[in-house]
Amino acid sequence: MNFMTEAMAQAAFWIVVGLTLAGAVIAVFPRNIVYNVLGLVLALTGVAGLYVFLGSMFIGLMQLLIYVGAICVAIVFAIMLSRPLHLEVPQRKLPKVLLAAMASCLFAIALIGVSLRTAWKPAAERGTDWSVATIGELLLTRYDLVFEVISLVLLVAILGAIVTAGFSRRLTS
Amino acid sequence: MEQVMSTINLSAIYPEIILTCFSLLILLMQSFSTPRFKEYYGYVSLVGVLAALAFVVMEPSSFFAQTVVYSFNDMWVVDNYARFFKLIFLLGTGLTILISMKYLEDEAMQYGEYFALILFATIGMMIMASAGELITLFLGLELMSLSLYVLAGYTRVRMVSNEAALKYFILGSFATGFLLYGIALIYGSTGTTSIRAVAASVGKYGLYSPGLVMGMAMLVVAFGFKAALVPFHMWTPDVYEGAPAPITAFMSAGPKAAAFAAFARVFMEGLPALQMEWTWLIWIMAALTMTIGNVIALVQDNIKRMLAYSSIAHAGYVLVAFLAAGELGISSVLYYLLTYTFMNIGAFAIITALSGRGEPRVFVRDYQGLGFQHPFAAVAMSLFLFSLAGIPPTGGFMGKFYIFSAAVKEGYIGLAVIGVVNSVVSVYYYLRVTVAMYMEEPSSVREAEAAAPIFSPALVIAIFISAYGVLSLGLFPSSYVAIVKQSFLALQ
Repeated sequence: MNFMTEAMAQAAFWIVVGLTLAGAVIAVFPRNIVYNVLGLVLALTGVAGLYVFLGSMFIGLMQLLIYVGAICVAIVFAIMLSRPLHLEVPQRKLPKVLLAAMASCLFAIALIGVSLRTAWKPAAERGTDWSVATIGELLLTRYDLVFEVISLVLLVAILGAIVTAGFSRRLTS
Repeated sequence: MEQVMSTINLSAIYPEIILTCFSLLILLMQSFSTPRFKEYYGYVSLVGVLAALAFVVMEPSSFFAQTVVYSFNDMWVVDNYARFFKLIFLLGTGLTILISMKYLEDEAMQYGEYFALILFATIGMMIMASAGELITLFLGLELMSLSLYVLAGYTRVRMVSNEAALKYFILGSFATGFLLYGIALIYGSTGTTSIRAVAASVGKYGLYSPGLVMGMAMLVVAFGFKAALVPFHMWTPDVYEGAPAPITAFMSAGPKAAAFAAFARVFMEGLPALQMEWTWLIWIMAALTMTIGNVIALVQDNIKRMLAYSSIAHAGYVLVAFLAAGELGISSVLYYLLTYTFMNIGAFAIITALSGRGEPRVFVRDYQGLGFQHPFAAVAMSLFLFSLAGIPPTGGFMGKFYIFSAAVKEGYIGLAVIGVVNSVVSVYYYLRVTVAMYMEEPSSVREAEAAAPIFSPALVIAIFISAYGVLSLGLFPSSYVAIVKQSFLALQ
């Protein structure tokens, strides 16, 4: 790989990182919840880009499909069906903002320090084959227990959503 | 000790499979049977718990054979340590189901999901106890937590219950984030998520990796949140107060034990090389947890809130034994958690019976004169409170005795002193309820008559089992100690 492509890949990587962070900031700070969702879309798309950089096209696509395509749309629906947007949102209190900023800065500094000072080790076995077939096979052989437990977790999540939000049956039965 | 390795050994997960089948069965019953079957959901789930209990004891071999089975490519460990914890979880679940049945009927909340979610939470705890790998552990914790979030808000008509669920959900998700970040950092520094492989890697490459230490610290936050250790305890009083009384009983016993099970396995088996780093951290947390829990409990009038702070304090005692580590320390953790399950669920069984529809009677003043009107309830409540306070001849006393002797033996004399002072302080608020029951007149006779406790046969059975457990753990500790020592050995 020559110098130019290397530099372009580097630049593209940092642009994706910047987009992800910008999305995260938009997801947290504005008081309008629609902006927050759009920020979340940007951040999650950026994460999908990072997966592509890691060499896993499939996971990147899944990230787009599930998080951006399904979850964010579901959030938009939830906003649409709940309280009206034009209502005043309570202002943030300054002491709270300051304390939160201090805590997050402390945490960020610790993390940055740690990541600079750690001698990161590559994983003992590094995958080169990221095809869908391999992932599927591993999920049903080596990681079969995890696969089954994930399905239980999702079942409980669905059940929980129905129990928490399903008003109708309770009133009729 | 015999070790069995295999890629897939279904007999290692029979108890979990059985519980899953029963919870699905209850969901199907709920959907396809007539409403008059609804009083049987509780019994069906009880059968499931008993069947799982039998398989925990018998499969894959007898408890005393000391077999350690590794299955699913090292992701799953069945040793006596895990099996003992599973016994505690199933015991807590069984007792909770017994005290829930009448409660749900009175609140007109008899739905299958309640029992299905309790069973799913139990499966999650069992996964946490048996996980040999951090991602499996995380999934078990999520399965347990998701079920608990929903259960905490189960009585949706009550605002406090909604508040409890929301608070628990938001803070719990935050703690889950810490757990995942910690796992990621440990994976980054060691290149593996298998707990045994982490230990091997740390042993091989040495431990000087700030990432590893940071990962460990984040795991402390996550487990500390689930076990309600100070300073990660803020959610506990509100959630315990708002959740339905049987669910509070459930949350205070099983999930707390599960957090300790995973905590001890990861730290003792995976990160023993970092002991220097975590010892002082846990020392401070143990001292704070005991003191803050007990001191704030002194001024509580709501008995559910009081027991929430008391449960924080008890987590502190368990943390002392955890720190003492070694055979004595870990076996005292197991002994204490077993005792705590009996005494705390017992106390909550009485609270459930007395609280009344919509739980209006959960204050200390509602217990005034109970000793004369309902001697049975008052005697049982006093027994559980004495045990929580650590007064002989109850299991609570023996448990604390083992914990503090382990701490002294391992050289944590300062902590043992703080612990003993704290248990003396705690006697005040436990006795306050007893004094109200026996030495104070009810504020008005009419109110006392309205406050007749609702005792169903199932609830009485639960109280008897708990009372039997508390007394036999206090009077005949040696047989329990023998079992607990068997369970400890497996961790080596």
